[in-house]
Amino acid sequence: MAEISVMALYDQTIENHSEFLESLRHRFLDDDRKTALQKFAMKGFPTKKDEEYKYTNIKEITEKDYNFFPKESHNITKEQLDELHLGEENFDWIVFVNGQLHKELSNISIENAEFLSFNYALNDENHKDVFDKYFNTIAAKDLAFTNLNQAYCKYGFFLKVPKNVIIEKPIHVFYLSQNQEENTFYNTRNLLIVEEGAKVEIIESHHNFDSSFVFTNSVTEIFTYQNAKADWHKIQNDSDTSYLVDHTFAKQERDSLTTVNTFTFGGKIIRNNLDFIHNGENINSFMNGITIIGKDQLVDHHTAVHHNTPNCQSYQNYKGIYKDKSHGVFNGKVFVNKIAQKTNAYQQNNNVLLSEGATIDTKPQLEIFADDVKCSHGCTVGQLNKDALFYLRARGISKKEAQALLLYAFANDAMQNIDIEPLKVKIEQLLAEKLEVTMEF
Amino acid sequence: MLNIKNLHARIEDGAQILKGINLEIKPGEVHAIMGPNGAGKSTLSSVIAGKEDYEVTEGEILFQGENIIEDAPEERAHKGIFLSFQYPVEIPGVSVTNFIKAALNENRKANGFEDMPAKEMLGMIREKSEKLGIKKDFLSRSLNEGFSGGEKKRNEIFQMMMLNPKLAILDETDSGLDIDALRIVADGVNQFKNEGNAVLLITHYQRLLNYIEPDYVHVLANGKIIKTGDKSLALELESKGYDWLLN
Repeated sequence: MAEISVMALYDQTIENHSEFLESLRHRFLDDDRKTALQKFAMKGFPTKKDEEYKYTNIKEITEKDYNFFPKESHNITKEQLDELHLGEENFDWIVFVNGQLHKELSNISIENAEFLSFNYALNDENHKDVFDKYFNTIAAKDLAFTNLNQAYCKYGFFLKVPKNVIIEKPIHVFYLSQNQEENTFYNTRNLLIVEEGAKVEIIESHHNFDSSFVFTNSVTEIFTYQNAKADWHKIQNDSDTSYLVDHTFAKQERDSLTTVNTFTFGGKIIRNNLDFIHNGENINSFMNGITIIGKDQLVDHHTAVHHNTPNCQSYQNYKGIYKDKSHGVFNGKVFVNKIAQKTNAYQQNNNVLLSEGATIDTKPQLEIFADDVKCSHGCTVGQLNKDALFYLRARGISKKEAQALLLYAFANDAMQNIDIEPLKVKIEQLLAEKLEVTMEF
Repeated sequence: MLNIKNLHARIEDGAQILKGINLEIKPGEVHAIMGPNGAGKSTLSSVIAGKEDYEVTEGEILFQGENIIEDAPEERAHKGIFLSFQYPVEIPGVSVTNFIKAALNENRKANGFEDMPAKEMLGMIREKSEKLGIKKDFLSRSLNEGFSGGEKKRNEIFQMMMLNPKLAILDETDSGLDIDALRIVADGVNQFKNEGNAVLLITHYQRLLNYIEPDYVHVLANGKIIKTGDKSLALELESKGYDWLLN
């Protein structure tokens, strides 16, 4: 294990790389990993001078030093896991602890599909072709965090759903970190391939059980083929000693449907980046987000939809509720290529600030080069409607509950396309919890 | 039941609207307040219900002998004051049923009762909604969202019947209603009415009073009650207007 002296993350990434490579069984990616690290090293971490990080200061993350080699031992109990579950007994649970897949804690019933830990798939000769075809083909090659992930990725999962296979039960993937005395750095990498006519639904959540910090730098690539459907729900409700930078790239072929929902309730600093790439006609893409944060938390949602082909639709609906001194950022980009006629792109970002110390920076960005398109966008920042509040209170509902009810109503339409009932209930419970009420909506 | 003494109120940091209201309502009574636009009718109902946009500068509001001026709107509701809104607020994502459940149980909790059992609640919802000719699917719709004017008012009366307050203030409940809807709403109020509770009607027009018979009619103008009479005063106002009283 490397000697960790106090040095910032940047230096550590250079310092630790050869030891990291030595620790791997597969070595066919070594050159790619080294190149990625060099690219990262040249520019380093983005700063506030970088347009994409203008409102999001990640210095707090990068100034710390981290252990790159998490201790594997843990004592996560079934009871602790049960608390994280959505309460639905028959969901598939995939449990990673300290980076390792733990089958004894998981409940894997997936049939007719290939599910492997990312590391196992990398080490497996049989999957070399799949990796050549998909891995790192849609992830950005010019970003600090994606390059860093490419250099260090090891944890995460690989799932390929073959043609016409419908996976009925949602798959909940847990990333747990426990028993780490030092701050720990995880580079998580997921690869999801949903072949023609197939269907799958993933729920992803990260949980840090320690008081030391966890920084997760996650990259996910999703490929959705013709007539296939992929839904990915991110529940972000981690501790105050958690940082998350997530890049998710989704490439869709004709007649496909992909959803990425992001529900953010906790974590110290969270940066979500979503890229949808259209590669065929009649594609539907959905991005919904509900954010409720407080204290001095920071959540940044960056989205980009690349309408490269005609007759496609994208819908983005992000709701944010900010308490205390929390800070929200929304930047939604829609690019419409000049051949992408009849594009229908919808983007909405609405925010409620519940305290004077809370701030939101919201920026819709549309670049349209086709002339026959329907694109709409809007963003609002406001406080709760006083008349509505009075209406509820005049019916005997206390101020706090009335506020919660109105905020639930506000956030509700970003929940419309969740078809997993226990997930909906969980989101509602988290809403109530964050708004400090005990009511059911 | 309600005893308003020399009530002065203004919009927070703004104009004085109520300039010395005196009004006593006893159990079993129906009072109507009429008056020209801008007289302060809706302000009076909002001030009784505790809207925080208004500041009481003088006087008191006694409800069952207790001064309620310092009470929050929800506390007044818990004591038995109900305001039917002129413009009910739309709340997407919260169904009529869930809303009324929450409201009813909050009131019960404040008065030391357990939550009403779900079965009993549903039975009560069914009974009251049938009386008002409210269809089942209406109850699962989002509160007031996309409701017609008539549906909104009917929903207000439904809530009143569910909560069964001691004092119901109906603020312009007749406005925007066609004659059939008006009759249904009035039937609801008449069914609600008994010897132990009281109703305060705020209205522009006399026609509601054909269906709900008031014991007293008050004329509110320029922040004061300038005349009080019986039902015949409403008819007189209908034919003569307000000018003869104002000069």
